[in-house]
Amino acid sequence: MSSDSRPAITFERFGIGFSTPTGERVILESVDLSVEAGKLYLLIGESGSGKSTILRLIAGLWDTREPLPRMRGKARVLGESVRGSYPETLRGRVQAVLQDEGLLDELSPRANVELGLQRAGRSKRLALGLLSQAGLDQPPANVAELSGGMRKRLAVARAMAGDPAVLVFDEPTAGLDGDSAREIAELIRSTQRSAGSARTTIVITHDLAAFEGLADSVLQLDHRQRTLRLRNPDDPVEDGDESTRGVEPAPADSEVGLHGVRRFLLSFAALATTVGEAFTRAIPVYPAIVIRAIGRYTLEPVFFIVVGCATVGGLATFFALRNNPLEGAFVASVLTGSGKVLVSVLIPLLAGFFFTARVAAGAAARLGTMKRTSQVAALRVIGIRPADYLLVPMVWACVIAMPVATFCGLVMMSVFSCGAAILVAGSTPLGWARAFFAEVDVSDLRFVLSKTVLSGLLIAIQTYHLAMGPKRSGRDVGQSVNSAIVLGIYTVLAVHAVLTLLQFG
Amino acid sequence: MEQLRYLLGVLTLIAVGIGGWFVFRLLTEEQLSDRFHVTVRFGEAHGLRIGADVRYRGVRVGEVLEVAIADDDSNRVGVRLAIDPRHVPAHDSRFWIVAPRFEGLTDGATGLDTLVRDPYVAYYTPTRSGPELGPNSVVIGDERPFVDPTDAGLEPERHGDLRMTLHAHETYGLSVGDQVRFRGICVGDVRSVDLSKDGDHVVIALRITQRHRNTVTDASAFWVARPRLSGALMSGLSIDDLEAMLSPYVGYRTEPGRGVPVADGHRAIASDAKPAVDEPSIQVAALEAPVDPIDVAVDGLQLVEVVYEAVEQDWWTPNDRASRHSSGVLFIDADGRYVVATVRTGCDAAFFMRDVFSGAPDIISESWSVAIPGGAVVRAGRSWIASDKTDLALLVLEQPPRDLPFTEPSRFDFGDEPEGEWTIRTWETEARPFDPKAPGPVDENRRGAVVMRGGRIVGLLGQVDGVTQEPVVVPLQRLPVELRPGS
Repeated sequence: MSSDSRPAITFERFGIGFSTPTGERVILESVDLSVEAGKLYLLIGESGSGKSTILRLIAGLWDTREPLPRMRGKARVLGESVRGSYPETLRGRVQAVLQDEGLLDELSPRANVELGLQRAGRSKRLALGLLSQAGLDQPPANVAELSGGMRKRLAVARAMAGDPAVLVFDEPTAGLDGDSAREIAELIRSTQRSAGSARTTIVITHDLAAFEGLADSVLQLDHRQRTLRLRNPDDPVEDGDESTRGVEPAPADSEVGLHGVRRFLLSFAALATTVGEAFTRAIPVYPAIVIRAIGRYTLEPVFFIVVGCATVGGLATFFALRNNPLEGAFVASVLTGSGKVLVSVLIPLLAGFFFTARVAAGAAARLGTMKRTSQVAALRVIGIRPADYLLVPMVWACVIAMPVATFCGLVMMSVFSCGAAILVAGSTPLGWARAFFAEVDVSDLRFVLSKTVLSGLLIAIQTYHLAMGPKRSGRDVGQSVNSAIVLGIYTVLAVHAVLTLLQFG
Repeated sequence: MEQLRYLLGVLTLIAVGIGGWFVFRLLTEEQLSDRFHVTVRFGEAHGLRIGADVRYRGVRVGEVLEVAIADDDSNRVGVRLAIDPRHVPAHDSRFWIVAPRFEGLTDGATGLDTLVRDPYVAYYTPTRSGPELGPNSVVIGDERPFVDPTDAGLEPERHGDLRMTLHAHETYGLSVGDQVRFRGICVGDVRSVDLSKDGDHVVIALRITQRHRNTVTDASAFWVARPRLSGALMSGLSIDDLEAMLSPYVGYRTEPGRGVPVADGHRAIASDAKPAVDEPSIQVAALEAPVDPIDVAVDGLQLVEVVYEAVEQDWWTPNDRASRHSSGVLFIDADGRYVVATVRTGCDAAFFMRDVFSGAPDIISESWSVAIPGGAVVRAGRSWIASDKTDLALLVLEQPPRDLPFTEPSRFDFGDEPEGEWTIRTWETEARPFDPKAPGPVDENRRGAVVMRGGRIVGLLGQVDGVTQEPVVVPLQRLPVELRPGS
């Protein structure tokens, strides 16, 4: 409990700005400010003045694919410097309720709160109490069924689960009617009051009416003067806004820092980080999620794979025997050749394609949407590494599901090939098996296993990397799905080509 | 911190680049470049395809990379092979294409396995073989399958040998490997003995060595030697060919001045007995004539002109062409092949050319021909180059004319310090005095000239290495023992 008189946030000659293609955009310049702990602050300022930048600074939500803003002076949260890389010790102690909440929609509302409790090392049984405290006595089974106000309440409950020392709300009343907005504002006030001096709450808002009489103090962000200052909540607000009228509105935060080679390099750095995390964090932190992912990634594509492989195996054998130029002769040789190429090259390749088209596309869409709707940011705010929660389960699932699904494809292909041989050449199953597998040996199976495991690993990593890129619109998500399919298929092709060459070249 | 992220990005980009390059190399058969490459020339490709096996003693050790009409000779097919570097062929290896063939009754059918699979290239390296071939050599392949002589204990057949069949009533105990004799001298051997198709006689396949094939004419009379009792009680008994009791042989007689030399595949009928002919007495003139005036050059020395052309591929500038003329000395090696010893600076562009960017030159085509004084020009292939930087190489003539004169082995000196006057001689000039301490320039007129001491060849005039044009006498001692004439 940080109940001492130490200030929650301090700025000393602090400046922050972005370098943009058109020059530097300064948000704060030489700010000296100390935000006292244990109070409820409103952070106000016009649109695009940099409020979200300050939220990202306090909660450590910089996107690793974007250039960091330029900073000068000192900025401390709970006594720790937040200039440069964000200290991991602050994760969980500083929580944020984002504008679009970032509720994990694959979990139930209760499970969302439980995840926060689990991360904070608290008992899951507190979940119902927290939900009730936030005004959600009987939450529905699905996050999707929640109304706007209920979503805010659930987000509050989840943030409370971490018992944070600093809690930042980004536009918590946006999109709510006056009554609902007031209810949320009062909920925020009550959570602040119940924690007392142990918590500092900062609410970024335009809706001063909803918070009337509730805030202890106001932080005014002045875009024109590039300052952040404290003022009394009862002071008139208009003058700031009046003075900025007629001034060209500042560009939104999301438009800065998208240019040039720097972003390209950062994307490759992120790729290296993803690869590193896939191995260094390979031991699952959430085994249940891993097991669920393995099951899903195996069952989802297996139907397509067995149907595709059965068709190819049956047709290949049928036409090979049917079009044998030496009519009726060398049936065993034709079967042996077909068996070798189907087992060691064609079926693993086909299964790889099906797997990629089904699993990589699905995962890219799901993760891209999570990124787009701030669920990934919410994970980081709760203190959960996205790599542990999303990447590692996906890696394990792909590495295991790909060979399993391929094996299923091989079995089904064999059944249909045998059927075709019986139909066309009148073989017996035993005779077919002897000829078909005559040239197939352990080394083939070893190479099939290597191909499927390696392509599974690469597909998991590249799909995650593509999905975790900046997502500003649904179009970005769609593009990442396309890229995941196309690159995934190329990856499968390349892995199979190289390993086949190594085996037979 | 952020600088570190950019650095990580740059490093990742480099790693991705390097990884991509390795995959590209792997996919563009770079791995094949570790293999040993050699081009073999054949008269006919026999349906050989790219990717066909190259087999050594029946085991696959490589593959065919290219089958194309030779750039410099539209009558020959150049077959480029990539061979496992553990099985590099030697200079005396024999290459042939295995395809279904019927060699006549006596030799039977070969290559029957290629009825159901593609033809392939086979090669054979004798157990006691010479040095390995240099990379990218061009060698001449055999048109017929080479029979491993160790199987039947037979001498290998050589280029230019006469192959013929003899038809006799019976074998009289003759078997494979028995001698063929002319005037009592062994001039060949029996390659096979078989019953004729209709069974009314036997067919005997003979090989007469290239050196003696001109003793067989269409008027020659053959017989299978066997002991024969003749005479009567009154006149006493005589036993002819008693020697044949121990080992039967085939004999023949050619009346001097009658008939014309025969071609391969000649057929003759063997009589049961040696024809009783009274041999005319040896002409007195024979005592004065040279012992063997046909095969050897007048003074026992056969120098030739080596004509070499090559194209070096440049990526950014027009391709460079090289054309060189040099001297060489023609001799017959242990395998009976016509071989020219010359300098590498006259027949190996990879040795004397340098790429514009000072890398290894990329030679895309090469051709060699040998002009023999008197007018004949014969195509050749390079069969051996010195493995170090020595300026020495050997070429093999592809289809030498019959009875081509060659340098006698006795004209070579591989000893350390022969005595006598130093002289130098090219294919077109007479011997001139030579000072080994001041060899003079190496130019078109003198490259590969033969340096002799006491009338015996000790070396060739070449360069210190491929690029330094400093003249030096390249000693023929550098020639491996197995490649020397008459070894």
